[in-house]
Amino acid sequence: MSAGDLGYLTIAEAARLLAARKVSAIELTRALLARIAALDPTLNAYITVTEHQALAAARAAQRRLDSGDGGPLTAIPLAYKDIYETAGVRTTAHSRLLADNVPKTDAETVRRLAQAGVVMLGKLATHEFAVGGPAFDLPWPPARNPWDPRRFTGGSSSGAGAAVAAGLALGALGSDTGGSIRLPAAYCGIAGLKPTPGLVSRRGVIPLAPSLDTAGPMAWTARDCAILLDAIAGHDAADPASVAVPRTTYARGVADSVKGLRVGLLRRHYERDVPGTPEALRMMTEAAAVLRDLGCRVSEASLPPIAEFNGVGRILICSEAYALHEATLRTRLAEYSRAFRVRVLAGALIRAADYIAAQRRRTDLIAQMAAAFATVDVLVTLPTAGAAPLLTEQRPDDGFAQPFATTVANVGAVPALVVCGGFTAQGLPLGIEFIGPAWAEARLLRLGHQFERATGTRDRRPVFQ
Amino acid sequence: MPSLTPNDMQALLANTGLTLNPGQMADLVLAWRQVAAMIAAIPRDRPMADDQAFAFRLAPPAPAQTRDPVRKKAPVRKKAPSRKSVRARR
Repeated sequence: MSAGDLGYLTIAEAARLLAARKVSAIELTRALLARIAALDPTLNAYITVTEHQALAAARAAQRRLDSGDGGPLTAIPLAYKDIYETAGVRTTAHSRLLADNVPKTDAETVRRLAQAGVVMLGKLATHEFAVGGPAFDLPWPPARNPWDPRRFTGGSSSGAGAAVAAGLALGALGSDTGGSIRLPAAYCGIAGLKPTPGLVSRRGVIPLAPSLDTAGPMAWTARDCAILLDAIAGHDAADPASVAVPRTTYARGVADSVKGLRVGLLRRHYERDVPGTPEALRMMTEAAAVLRDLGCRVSEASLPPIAEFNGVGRILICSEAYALHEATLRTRLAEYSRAFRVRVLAGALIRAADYIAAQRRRTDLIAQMAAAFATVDVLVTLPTAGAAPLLTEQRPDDGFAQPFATTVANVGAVPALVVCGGFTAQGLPLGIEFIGPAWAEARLLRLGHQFERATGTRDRRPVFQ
Repeated sequence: MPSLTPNDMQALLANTGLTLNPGQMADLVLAWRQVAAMIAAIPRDRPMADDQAFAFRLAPPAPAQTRDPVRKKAPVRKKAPSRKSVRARR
């Protein structure tokens, strides 16, 4: 198999080939490292490539496979957004301020994946401290979209979106505070899951806004996200936000039928609040037909306007991020990117009363979100208006000027999955978002998997010259 | 809407210890306009006593701590005699 073929394996396929001895851990790791060497100078997905550690981990993983002790993630090459702490490996948060930061311990999720035998390929580009936007005034350039390198990947898990779509990692961990897993998943044509707050430990993940931050998986397919979630979900007593929910097996159930699932289209959100492009709206019409063919009962559903969720989310992010960075902003203001400063400095002016008002409004929105699930099992919407815009079209104040549809699930404290819903005439991916009630990750992953199978979107990959 | 002039902003920023150059101040003025509109849009007509519990949540007490120390002890039930002791009495 060529490096291209191996880079474009799903996690599930790679695990089968590894178990059947059709490919070795070293072969797979070398193939991915070769792809990174060839393509990353264009895509900028990686900040740090950990080649030597990766090869050592691959050898250890192969010994484990040879002894019959392998699991579904043993020898699978992954990479982490560079806000996940990794023992002995630089963790920069894509910021000049942490350019030399080498943590002593792994983030809890990284530790769990290491225990499962994964091979860490390196650390991935983000927006500075997971906020802002693509910035050209930082030591590392912003990631570029594999479907068209002139285009934005979405963010802030930008390197994760690019790396998975380009076959530079079979999966990745991202973080999502207002859409940072799901926006790159949509623009890069992959699957990304923002879990229910408390399901996945955030210990050792550099925070942005602790009342909204979540950590989650990104991969080519919903099934692969389920495999990753199986390894990282579960109570962590050392994370105060972690919740001890009964253990579920996510990957095992993805192939189950979705017949009878009540699906509600958030038509007002994607037609009026953040109106989709004509191609995205056509994709939603086709998606509704696919869901009906799968046996889902499709109806319309409603939530408060996106602007309400977005306003609350922006105030919380701005205030909490400012509070976390205030001391450094005082002394090292010029070292932050302009994009970070534009998004965060306004937090210095937000009064405590306004922050509390936003938190109180959030409790209303969470209640309204929960009420919506009395009549439907899953809500469906567009995560973005359309396909990835050009990088040159991005402005530092976009986060304020344009509402993010994805913030609905963060403020509403529910899980949401983005998968590829189709492609534009130009060949750019379009995402579709499935939102569930709290702890319904298994249901979302099942629907995502069935939807991917029915639409055939997983058969198409970016083409490189 | 909490409108702030650049002078108001300078005064508030002085309290935070931040010093912005003119370009950074211009960016902040633009960003604040958007944030102020979001703040103004939040409904505030909530009952005073509403939702006091959003701030934090305590973990449930550990099982050993659940016993009420002032509660009367339940009467001790007599142990049923073992077969051996019954036999011995015979």
